[in-house]
Amino acid sequence: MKRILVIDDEKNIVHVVDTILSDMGYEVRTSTDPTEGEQTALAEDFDLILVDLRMPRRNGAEIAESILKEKPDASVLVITGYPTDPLVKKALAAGAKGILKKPFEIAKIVDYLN
Amino acid sequence: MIGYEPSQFRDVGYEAFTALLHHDDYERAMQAMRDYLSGSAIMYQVDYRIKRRDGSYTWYIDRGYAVEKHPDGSPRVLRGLVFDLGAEIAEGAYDEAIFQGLRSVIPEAARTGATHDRRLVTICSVCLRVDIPDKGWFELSKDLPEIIPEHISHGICPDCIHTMYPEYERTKGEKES
Repeated sequence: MKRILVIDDEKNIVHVVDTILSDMGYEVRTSTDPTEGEQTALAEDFDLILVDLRMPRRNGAEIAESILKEKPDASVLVITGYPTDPLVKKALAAGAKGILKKPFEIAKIVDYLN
Repeated sequence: MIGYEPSQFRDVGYEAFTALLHHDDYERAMQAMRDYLSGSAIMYQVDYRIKRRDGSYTWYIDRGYAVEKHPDGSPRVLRGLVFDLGAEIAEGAYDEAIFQGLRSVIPEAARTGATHDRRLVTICSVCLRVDIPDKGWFELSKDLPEIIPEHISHGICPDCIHTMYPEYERTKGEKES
């Protein structure tokens, strides 16, 4: 069973992704706290990690950098409402696989998983 | 905000406003506008002191951009937000001013005294309504994300979840039953 971690301070987004992907048979872990999500990403292995860019206290680019420094092979996707956000460039430079623009279709996450 | 009647600025040139700028900040504010109009800045963004009606000065954060442009790309209509920082800029005042300003432009939040306990404002990434905690989702300027991008977090409102993710409600309903 493929494992996915979703780190986003927006509870509604997290609930939607969790509910739909779990129903599709994926194992989904979520965190609305950026620091807690980062710790989970470092402590466990996931097939895909979704990280929101704009979160309070710690942004998604910093988290992506931290994860990919420890786990260079991790699949990290950043999710954002602004594809032109300068943090996107920072996350991609750190090794993130791509960006998912909000609002996104769940099928796009599945595409990445497959 | 600073004691003048709006009518004092109607049907007069922008100079009626810029005449109130503090002498030491005037050139910086004008240069910021020139930089934006010439295309070398992506947004008009500057902090300056402005004279209140009582003669004292207060700091403003001023941000704006063109919502309509001429065919040659030059700005035709500018829109923006101004936040009052008070007489002294203290550490952290910038963020606080942004949120004080937001509360003042979100009528429901201002009326109820609802406060944001976070440093980011959530907007629905589909309909762009703003989430006022414990109150619901309200229409605000759709330009807000362009004006204060670093203070915006993109979420999704229940109405748009319903439209965009019908399978979410179906799955949730099945689990609950």
